Amino acid sequence: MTNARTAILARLRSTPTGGDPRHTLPGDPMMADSDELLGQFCAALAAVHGEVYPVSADWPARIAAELSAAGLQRLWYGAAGPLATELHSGWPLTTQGATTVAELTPFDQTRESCREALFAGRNAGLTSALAGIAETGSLILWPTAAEPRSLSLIPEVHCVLLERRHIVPTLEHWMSGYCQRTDRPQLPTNWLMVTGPSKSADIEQTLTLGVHGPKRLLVFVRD
Amino acid sequence: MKPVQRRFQPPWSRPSSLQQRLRTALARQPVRRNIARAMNGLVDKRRAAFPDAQTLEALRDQGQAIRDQALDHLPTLLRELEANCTANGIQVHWAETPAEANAQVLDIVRAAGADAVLKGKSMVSEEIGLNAALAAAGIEALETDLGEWIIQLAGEAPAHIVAPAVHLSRQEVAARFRTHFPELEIGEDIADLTALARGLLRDRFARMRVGVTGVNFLVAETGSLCLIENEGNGRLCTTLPEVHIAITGIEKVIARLDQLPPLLRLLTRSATGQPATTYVNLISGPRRTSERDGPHEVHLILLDHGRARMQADPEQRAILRCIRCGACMNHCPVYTRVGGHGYGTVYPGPLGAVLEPRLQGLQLQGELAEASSLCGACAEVCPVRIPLPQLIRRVRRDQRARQARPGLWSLWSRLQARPLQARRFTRALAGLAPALNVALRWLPSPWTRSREPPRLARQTLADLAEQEGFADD
Repeated sequence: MTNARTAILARLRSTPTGGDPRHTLPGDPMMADSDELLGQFCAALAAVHGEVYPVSADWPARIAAELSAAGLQRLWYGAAGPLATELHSGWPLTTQGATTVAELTPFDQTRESCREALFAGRNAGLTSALAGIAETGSLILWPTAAEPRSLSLIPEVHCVLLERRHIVPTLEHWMSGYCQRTDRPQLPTNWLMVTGPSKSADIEQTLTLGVHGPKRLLVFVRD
Repeated sequence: MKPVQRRFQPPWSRPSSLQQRLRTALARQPVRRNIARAMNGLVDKRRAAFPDAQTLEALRDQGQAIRDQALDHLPTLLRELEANCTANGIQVHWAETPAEANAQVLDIVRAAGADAVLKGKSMVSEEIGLNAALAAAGIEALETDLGEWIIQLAGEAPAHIVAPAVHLSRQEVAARFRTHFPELEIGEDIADLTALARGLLRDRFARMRVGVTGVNFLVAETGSLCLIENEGNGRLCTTLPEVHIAITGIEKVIARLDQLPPLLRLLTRSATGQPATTYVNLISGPRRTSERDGPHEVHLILLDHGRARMQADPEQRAILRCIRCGACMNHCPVYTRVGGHGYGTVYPGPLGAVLEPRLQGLQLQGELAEASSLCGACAEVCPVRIPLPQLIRRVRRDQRARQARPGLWSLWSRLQARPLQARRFTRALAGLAPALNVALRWLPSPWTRSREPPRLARQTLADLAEQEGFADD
């Protein structure tokens, strides 16, 4: 193996070149108006079959209502995650027009023991988002020990709480912002950009939602 | 269908195995219809994804510059990548040949005590024949990408590098499912077929211990693996198993994280016209101490398989810029007519015609470069401006240099080097024209199988020119 490494590196040639391609940010630099960004974000997300709900402090109740309407049994969330406290205090005992409210279930065990439960039954997962990308309707997720990546992957519905002020024009904008920070935090083990629910067009190029990941993506945008 | 009466074929005009494959592919009308429809769709989607020509050209410049920089500094970047991956806890392995890479995967799978692996879509794993190597060792490889799973059930090879089951209609997919799962009631609705795949595979996802995937880009600066996908199967393969093995070519590295967005922009829009895939993953290590999920081990296998030799050649290096979007084949007049199976190689189309002869050798695959009209459509759409027709001509040139020139052609070229003798010879041929024209009509050759045989003129061009009063200089 070490031999393979030596042999491969010995075969390669270095060609010194002057250029270091730094990208320029695409799009209109003036487009920073927050209403315009929100409008663009919503349209782009709708185009990829994501759902947008404008919310305020009542967001836990709004999520509960959507989950009840869809007949989901549990909402998984990061037990020590950034949304846990608010979620608990705002979670309703009943929602209008529904007999049951999804049960709040913290993801606080190791994955191996949660796995069966995550795969079984009708679940939703809740995560925060670091940013929204207006151009593509994408969400930047930063999974941590407190808010594991399985939450946005295994349940059939993925709910996201996004702060309106965190919507940026393009991925280039977010990435250059992150890269230029002097105190930039180490990347998580699985940095993620999510754009819409899971989908495939492998059979006759016909779009089908919910192939292996979540079938629905609900984005709750808080003002 | 009436059997076709074939004329006698002399040895010099017998079809090669490539020609035979192409003929078979051309005769499969339903497959051709499926492929042509899909390619037309992809061409339209790409065009719609780049509405502004000026923006597109600027983006292509950027894409080319980023990939060129990476390839120019490849040894340095690979060392930097290795150091940063290692610091992140990713175990880096190097493989010179497909056999070495397969052996490394096998060692890791055995160490994990697994008898089956989950697979995310990976062309490099096709390139090294990983599934067959695992099967030979008694280990099952389960493809999880919907298209890959369909063709795995059917025992076929991918027909396209992005859309592997593009050659099958929904009816054909349903028929394959029925053969495989006779106990299930299977209709022909696409949503139902997809739901069936989800249900059957989900059960297996939860229990597998090893996941194998490819990589779209390697980021040297942060020691990260970038994987993009739409279905979520890739994320399941890299999240649920205890061990994740990523396998990719050494050329996939880029220098910095902020170079990723323009490449993603080019890749997804060129491939399927999507502004972004559903998931973009940046994997920067195995599960950390406090984390609740993710694999305990992440392995990165860096495959050479002829790439270093291409990198060392200033002209051939350009093909290593490739980001595997498939736009060159979607726009290729040959690919759109014969599909991926006509080529008989892992990488089809213009990309395959350049890459395969270098991976497998000119002797085995050099002929692929002949399956091109050199129309240039591939180079016009390539997001990183690979001069594909130039590289196809280079393969042809290298192929000619390797092959001995047939005796008749070397005589001809020697004759052309002596203008006076050549003129005397052509004049003699013109004199024999009536007799030779009869003979030519009966000469069996691949050329005359579908065309009128050429006729010799009774006067040479030089004589005609002289009659018209042109000077001889």
